[in-house]
Amino acid sequence: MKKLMTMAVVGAFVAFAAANAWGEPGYAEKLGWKPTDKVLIWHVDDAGMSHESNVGTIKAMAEGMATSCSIMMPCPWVSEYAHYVSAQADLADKPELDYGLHLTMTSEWEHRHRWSPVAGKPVAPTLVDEEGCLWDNVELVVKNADPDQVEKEIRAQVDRALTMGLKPSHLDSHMGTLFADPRFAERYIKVGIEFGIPVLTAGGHMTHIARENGDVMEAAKMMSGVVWAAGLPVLDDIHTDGYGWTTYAEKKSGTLEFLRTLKPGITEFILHCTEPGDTFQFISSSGPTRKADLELMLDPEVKKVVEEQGIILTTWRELKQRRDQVK
Amino acid sequence: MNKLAFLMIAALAAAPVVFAQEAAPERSYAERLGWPAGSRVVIFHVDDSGMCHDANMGAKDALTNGVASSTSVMFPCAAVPEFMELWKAYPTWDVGVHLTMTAEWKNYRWGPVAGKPTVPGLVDEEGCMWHEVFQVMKSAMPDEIETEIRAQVDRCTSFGMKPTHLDSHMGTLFADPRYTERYVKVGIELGIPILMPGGHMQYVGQDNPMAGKMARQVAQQLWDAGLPVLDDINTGDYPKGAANKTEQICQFLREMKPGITYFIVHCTRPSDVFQYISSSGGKRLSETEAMISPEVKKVVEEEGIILTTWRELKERREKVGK
Repeated sequence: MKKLMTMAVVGAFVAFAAANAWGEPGYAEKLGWKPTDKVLIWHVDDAGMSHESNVGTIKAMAEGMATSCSIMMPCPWVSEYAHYVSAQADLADKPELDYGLHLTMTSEWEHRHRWSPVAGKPVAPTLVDEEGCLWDNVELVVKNADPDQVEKEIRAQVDRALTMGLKPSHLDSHMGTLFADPRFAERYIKVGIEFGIPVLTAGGHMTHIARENGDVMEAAKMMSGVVWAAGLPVLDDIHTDGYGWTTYAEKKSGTLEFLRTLKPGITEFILHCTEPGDTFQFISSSGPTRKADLELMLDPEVKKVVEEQGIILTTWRELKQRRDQVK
Repeated sequence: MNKLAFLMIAALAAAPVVFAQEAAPERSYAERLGWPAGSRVVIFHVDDSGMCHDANMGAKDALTNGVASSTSVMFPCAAVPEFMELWKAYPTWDVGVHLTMTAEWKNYRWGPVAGKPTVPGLVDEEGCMWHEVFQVMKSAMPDEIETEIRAQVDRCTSFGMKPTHLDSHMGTLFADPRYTERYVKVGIELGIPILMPGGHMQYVGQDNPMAGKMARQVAQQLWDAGLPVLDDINTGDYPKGAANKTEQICQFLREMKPGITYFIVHCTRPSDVFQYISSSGGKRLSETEAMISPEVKKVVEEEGIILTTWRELKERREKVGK
C-alpha cells in the first residue's frame, strides 16, 4: 500500500509551491531563533488508528526522540491514546504532551480496518464510499467531497477532541488530503485560525517540498502568509519521504543524510512509529516501515548525529508560544 | 469487563417489562413454522462479527467448521469491511445486523453510524456510544435510536447485503419499550426478521423471572406481520454449573425443550491485541472451541437437534402465510 506514502507527499506538494524565498528571513528566525539555527519536529502521524500505532507513538515520544504526534479522530483506538494523555497530564512534573489532530478524510486500508466520518453519513454523504467509510484515497475525496462537508467533518473531529478533554497543539492532514484541493485547504486554515490552533503549513525554504514537487509552492507561500498573519506559527519545510524507506538500513541512511544536510529553519520530519504485533498485517502491509520509524527514534546513533549537527528539537506548543510572543 | 459476555443477559434482565412470564402458546413456534411436534430446533448465533479482526476470525471458524449457523454484524465497528469481504467468499452465510447502541470497552470504541450531529443523545463525552445500557436509556431519544437503527441497516445494504435478521447488541433495544417499539417497527417495515422470543421461554424466563407478557404480545405482532418468531433465547449462561463451554452446550442440547431456541456465542480468535480490547478473550475462545468441537457435533446428532438459520425461518414463515 503506497497510499499513505503519498500522504503528506501528495498533499504537501499539491499545495506547496516553488520557492523563491532565499532572500527573506525564515520562519525560525521570525519565531526568535538565530538565522543559522536548525530546528526540527520529529512528528509521529496516525496515533489512534490502531493499538499498535498508540504503542509506537507513545514509545517514540516517551523513550525516543519524537517530539510531536497527531491523532486520527475517526479511528477506534482514539480513547486509548486520550486516556494516556490524561494520565500524563496528571503527572505534574512532565511538560504537556505535544499532540495534534491528524484531520482524516480517507480510510485507506481496503476491505480491512476502516472508519467513517465523525460527522456521520447523513451530514456528510459526499465523504463516504459504498462501504459507508471515508474514501479510499485522496483522488476520490477530491472528486466527490463537497467542501462544505469537508469543513463539517473537520469541525466534527475538532469537536470530538475538545469534548473528550484533549488540547490539540496543532492540526494537520492525513494523507495530505486537505492540501490536495485549494477548496479544502481554505477550510482547513479557516478552522485552525478560528480556534487559534496552529495548522501544518510550510512557507520557508521548502527544500524537501521543492524536491518532491515544486510546482505548487506559490500557493503554499500564500497559505503560510495567511496563517502567519492570523497569529499562528508556520514551518520552513516538511520532509515526507521516510514512509517510502522500508528497510531499516535505508531508513537510517536516508535520515542521517537528512540530518547532515538540514538547512537552517524549522523542518517537520514525518514518521509513523508503530509497534506491529501479530495482527497489524491484517490492517496494513506497512508494518515494517512503521516499525523502522520507531527504531529510528530509539537509535542512539541517530540521536548522536542530531547532537553533532546542533539541531534543536521543538514542538508545536513551543512554536505557538513563540508566535504569541512575536506579536 | 464482562459486559459483552452479558450481552442480552444484561439487557434482558434490565428489561422486566419485555419478558414477563406468561402462559406459553399451546403450539411452539417451531410447530407453527412447519416442524413436527416435539422438534428441537437451534440457531447457534455468533454475535459481534465486524467488531474487530479477531471476532471475524472466530465467526469464520464457527460458521465454516462448527455448528454455528448464523451471525450478526456490529456496523459501527472498524472490522466490518473485512467481515463483508469474508461474506462475499461465503455468500450463503446467514448474516444479520447486530444493532449496536453501546461502545462498552475502555480503549477500543466506536461512534454511531448516523454521527453525533444527527444523534447527539447516543454519544458520551468521548464521542462514542455509551458504555452501559442504562446510560443509553438516560440519554437517547427513541427517534435517535430509530435513526441509528436505520443508518446501520443502510450501511449493511450499501454492501449489497440484505440482512437475514436484526438483533440487539447488549440487548439495549429490549431494555426500554420505547426502543423496542422502534426496533419492531423497522423490522416489520423492511420485512426483516428480528430477534424476539415468544414461546416457552425456558431460559429467557430464568434471565428474568418477571418475564413476558409484552414479549409475547410483540412476538404475536411480528408473527401477524409475517415474520418468524423464536420460542426461546439462551444467552449462553444456561445450564449453570458446567465445567466448561463445550460441556455446557452439550448439556443444553440434552435438556432443551422442543421449539426453536437461539443460543448466543461470541466466537473469537483472540490475538495479542485482543487483551487491550477486552478481558473476555478466554471466554470467547472457549465458545469458538465449543462450536467446532466433535463433542457438540456428536450430541447434536444423538439428540436429533435440527440446526436452522434465520433465512430458513423466514422462508418457512412465508410458506405458512396468514
